[in-house]
Amino acid sequence: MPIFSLQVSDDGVVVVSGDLDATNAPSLQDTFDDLSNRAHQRVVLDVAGLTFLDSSGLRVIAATRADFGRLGRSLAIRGASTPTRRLLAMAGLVPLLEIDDPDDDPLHPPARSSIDTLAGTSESIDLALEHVVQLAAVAVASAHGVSVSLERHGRMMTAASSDAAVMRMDQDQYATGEGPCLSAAAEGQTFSVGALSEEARWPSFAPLALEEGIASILSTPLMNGDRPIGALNIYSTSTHAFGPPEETLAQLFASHAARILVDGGFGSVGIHSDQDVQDALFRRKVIAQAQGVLMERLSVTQAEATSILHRSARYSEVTVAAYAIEMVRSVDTHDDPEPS
Amino acid sequence: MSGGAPDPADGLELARLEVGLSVGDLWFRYFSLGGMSSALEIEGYLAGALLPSNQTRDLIAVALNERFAELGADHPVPYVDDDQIG
Repeated sequence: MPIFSLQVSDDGVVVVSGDLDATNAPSLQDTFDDLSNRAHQRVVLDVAGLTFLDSSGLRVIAATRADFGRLGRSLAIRGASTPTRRLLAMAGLVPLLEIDDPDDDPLHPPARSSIDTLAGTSESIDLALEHVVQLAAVAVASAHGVSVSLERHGRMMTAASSDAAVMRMDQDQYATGEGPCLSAAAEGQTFSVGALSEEARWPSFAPLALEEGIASILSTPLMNGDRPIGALNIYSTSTHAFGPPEETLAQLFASHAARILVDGGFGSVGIHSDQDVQDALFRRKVIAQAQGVLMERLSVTQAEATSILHRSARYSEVTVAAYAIEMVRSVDTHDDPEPS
Repeated sequence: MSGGAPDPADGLELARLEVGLSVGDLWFRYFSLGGMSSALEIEGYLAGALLPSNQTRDLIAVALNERFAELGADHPVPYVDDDQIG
C-alpha cells in the first residue's frame, strides 16, 4: 500500500502523496491549521502524488477552504489527476477552489479549473462504455460488432461502438426512425432479429443493414429502474446468431452500461414526459411574450425586461411563469398590472 | 465585474445539491424559464469548468430559487444583477 507522506515548504506549498484517508487526514488538518497561523496569503495543496482520496480528506480540504475564506486567504489545488478532480467536483468543491496547474502560464494562472473537469468526467464515461462494448464483442462469439445508443433530449445517439460499421447501423436506424435499437430503447423490451432478410417490422432500415452484410441483430434495453434510457446492440453477419445464452450475456452488459450511465448522471433529462415538454415550451413562450410587453412598455432591453420580470415575480411571491401568464392575460384583456 | 467580486457560478452547485435536483431536472427548469444553454453546458457551469454569462447564471439562480420556494425557503441564491439594477 502506498505510504502517505506530507511535506510543507516555506512558500506555503503542501505536497501530499500516497493514500490520504481517515488515518492521516488529521495530520493534514494540523498542517493547514499551522499554516493558517502564518502569513501565507495563498496555500497550495499539491495532490499530484495522491493514490487515494476519501471523504475524510475531502472534509479537511472543504473545512480548510472555509477557514481560509474567512481569513481572506485562498487554497489552491495543484496537480489533481482526473479521478481527483472528479471527486472534488462531486463534492461540490471545484467552484470553491483554485485549481492550479503548474503547466499553465505562471503569469496568467487560471482563476478557475480548466475544461478538463468536464471533459474528464465525460471521457471516463465514454471510456467505461468503450470497455463494455469491446468486452461484449469478445464475449459474444457470434458478434460482428456492438454499440450502446442513448436517448438524450429526445434524440438517439451512439455513445460507444466497437467499429465504424456498427456506428453506421445505429445511424441508419436514427435516420429512418425505425429498427430494433429504437424499439428496444422506446419499449424497454429486448428485440431479437434472427434473419433480417425475412424481417417485416422495419421495412426502411432492414435493406440498409442487409446491404452492410448484417444478418441478425440483438437489441437489449438499458434500464434506469423501469425506464428505458437506451439500448445495447449486437450485430452479426450470420443469421440466427443469438440464442438464450447470448441474450443473457447481452442483458449483463446492458445492465452494466446502464449503471455507468445512470451513475454518470445520464438519463435524468429523459424523465420528462411529452406533457412536461409541452408545458415547458408553453412557459418559455409566455415568458418571452411577457418580456416583449415589458420591453415595449418600459422601453428597456431584453436583459432588463428579464430582470424586471424576475423581480416582479419574486415580489409577488409567484413563479416567473405564473407571473408572465398573468401579465400576458391582463394585456389581452387591457387590464394591465403595474410591474413592481 | 469588479476585481474582488465573487465568482458568478459560486454556490450554484451547492444550492443544487441542497434542493436535491439532478442536473437534468435543473436544466429542464432553466429551459422552461427561457434558457438557451444545453444541459451539458449547465453541467460545465456547475462544475466550474465553464463560465456562464451573468444572464445565464441568474437564470440558473432563478430556477434554483423557485425550487427553494417550493420547499418553503425565500430565494437564498443571490443574483449577479442585484448590484446592477436597483
